[in-house]
Amino acid sequence: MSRYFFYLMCVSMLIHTILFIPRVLIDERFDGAIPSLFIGPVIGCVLMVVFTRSMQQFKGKGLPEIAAMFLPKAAAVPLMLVFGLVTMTSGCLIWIHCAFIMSKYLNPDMAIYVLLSLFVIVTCFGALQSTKTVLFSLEIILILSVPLLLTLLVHSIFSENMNYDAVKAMIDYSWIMPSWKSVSASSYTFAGYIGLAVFNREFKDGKPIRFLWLIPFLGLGLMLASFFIPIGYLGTAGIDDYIYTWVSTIDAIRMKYVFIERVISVYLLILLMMTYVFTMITWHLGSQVIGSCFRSYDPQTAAWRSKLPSLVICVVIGIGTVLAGSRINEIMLFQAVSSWMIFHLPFDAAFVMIVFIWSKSKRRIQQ
Amino acid sequence: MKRGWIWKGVLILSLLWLPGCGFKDIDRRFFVMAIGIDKSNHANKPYHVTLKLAIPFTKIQPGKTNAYQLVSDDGSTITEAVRHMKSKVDKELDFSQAKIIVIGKAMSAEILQKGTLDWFLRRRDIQSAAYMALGDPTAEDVLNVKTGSERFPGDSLFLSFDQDGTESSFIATEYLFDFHRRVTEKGLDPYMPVIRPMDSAYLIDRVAVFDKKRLKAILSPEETRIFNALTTDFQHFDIETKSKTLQFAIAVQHFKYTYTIDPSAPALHMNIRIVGESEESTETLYKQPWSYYERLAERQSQTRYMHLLQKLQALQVDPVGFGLRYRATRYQRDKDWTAWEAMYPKLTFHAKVQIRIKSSGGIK
Repeated sequence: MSRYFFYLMCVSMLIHTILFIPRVLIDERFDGAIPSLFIGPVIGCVLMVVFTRSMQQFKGKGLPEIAAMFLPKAAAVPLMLVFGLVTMTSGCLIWIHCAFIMSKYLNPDMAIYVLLSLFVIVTCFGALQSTKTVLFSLEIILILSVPLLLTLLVHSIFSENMNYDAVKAMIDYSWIMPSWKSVSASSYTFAGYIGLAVFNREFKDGKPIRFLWLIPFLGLGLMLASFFIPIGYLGTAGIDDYIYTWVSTIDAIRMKYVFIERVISVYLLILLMMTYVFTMITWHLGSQVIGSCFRSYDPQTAAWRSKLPSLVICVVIGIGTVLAGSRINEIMLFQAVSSWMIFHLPFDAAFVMIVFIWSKSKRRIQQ
Repeated sequence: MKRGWIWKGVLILSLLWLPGCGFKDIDRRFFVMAIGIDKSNHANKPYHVTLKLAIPFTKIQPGKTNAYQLVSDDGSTITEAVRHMKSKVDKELDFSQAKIIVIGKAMSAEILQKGTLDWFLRRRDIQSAAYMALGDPTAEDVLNVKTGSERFPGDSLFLSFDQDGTESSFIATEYLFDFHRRVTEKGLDPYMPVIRPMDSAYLIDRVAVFDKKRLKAILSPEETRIFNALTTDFQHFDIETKSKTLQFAIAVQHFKYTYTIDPSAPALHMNIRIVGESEESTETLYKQPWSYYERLAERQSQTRYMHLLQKLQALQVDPVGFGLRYRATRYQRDKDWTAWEAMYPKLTFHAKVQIRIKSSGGIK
């Protein structure tokens, strides 16, 4: 089962390195973004290791069941509510971000609320599937899209249009204290472990996850690529003019001998798939965790009634996403994203600490 | 079973969304193949925008299916000109196939001001990998050429610039994103190939170099070839060598150059390594040891390299990116840049060319 954990980590790494992080880090590229590329993974990986080790103490149990073991219902419900909402919000932000890109580059004639509501409907269907099905669809989509993404990445690294002098010129700026925002943003690359809060239900064998040490290197490599390739293509100063850094970078790549010359269309489709799968995971997480507060909720059965709470939550959040997406403009979106980046790290850390304490006290109870 | 029908009903109902998008059919679109920007005669409407629109054909035939319609208009901004142009054509303008942007020579100073380049970067449908070129005398004249070998309008230009068709050492290729990078980057200056129309063909054998503000000079064809080799690592060129008694040409197979900047002198040491085979000669190449011909060719191409480097220095432009390399290899942030700015005019160049002849071709 450990490969599913890798998929979870991979999807969060990919989505964050191509959507959010370049923008935040590149804004601060002269003010300490480069050291944060190395500090972020350290923080992220410590949290990841602590969280996975703690969750593995509870074989086959999700966060709601664990919370019920240690907390009275009155305390567990608000905790689940906060956790669920925060996870789902990250999905919402990504959908809105993606819808902005899609409506700009792929389908400019369509109103953004139409686009978003179509996206949201599909995501609701995805998120309502059983936990196992979500994992399976995650695997299928990743296997379909990652090779294409890797081809693009390798092509852009070895292209003659990539200016490595610009990359080297950036190295001058590596001994600067990074800001909280950039550290928090780069540690966000590793936020995929949060998925274990529900997906742990399927990790029943309790075997330790193998090759966990590979994840920091994978994440660091991806982050370095997603930070430096746009700089190599668009220039250390010129990059400041672009909003969707990676979309503009990909637009500058021309693959002559591939069936589509302008690879941006391929890239946008991959982006759409990745965003879909990421939102499906976060909404599945959120709806399961919040749904657990209701009496009719039962993850073991696929009955209509037991899914009703999750459905209602997904629909409510979905409507919220569409409303938010059609009301805000790009500036507000980027402000929201950057304040989200500041907020999420303390939240994640606190959450990991709680689970860690529970796992310790469980051991004490058993002794 | 009953619930299955509900889901299917929802799915079918969701089809109702589809007609809502304002999608225009392909036969309601005019594909813009090339965009030309010139300076107009009106002071308050400075931009003279020309679009080359492809007229579609059912069957592609070289030289016959490249009919086009040229529309142009003046405007105080490019947007205004394009908007007004829409009233001159019967279909929706689609810029997604516009692979080349031609700037009129008179417009060359304005292109470096942010406003002009801005439109191309801000429009989502113009690709960043579009080619840039300078039209001499005007962009409109360049767009108004119909070559006999084209399969669709503008095809010859695209083929000349991507190295898919002709691979000429005289043709420099510049992309929109690269031009923007060069306009903004410290220590890397923009350039553009110059296209000159000739009855029913193009001549692209010169390159225009810019500093950050204006067009500085147009290099001669001979300089352009050296320029191409230095800026884009162009591999397929040849070296002519002339002496009193003989004249021979070497076709290059492999070309590589490295350089180091010595700030104490200040000097730039460039090592150029070329491997090639002889393509033409006025006498048999087995008369002398090959090292003789190699030295002869080295001496002559060395002066060419030195000439171009010193010319670029005298023009105070840096399209090769020496300044960026200096910034990349030193670690003092902005101090590097001020040091380089002071150093570049005083720099002495030492180009060392090493040529190796691999073969004399098919005959001795």
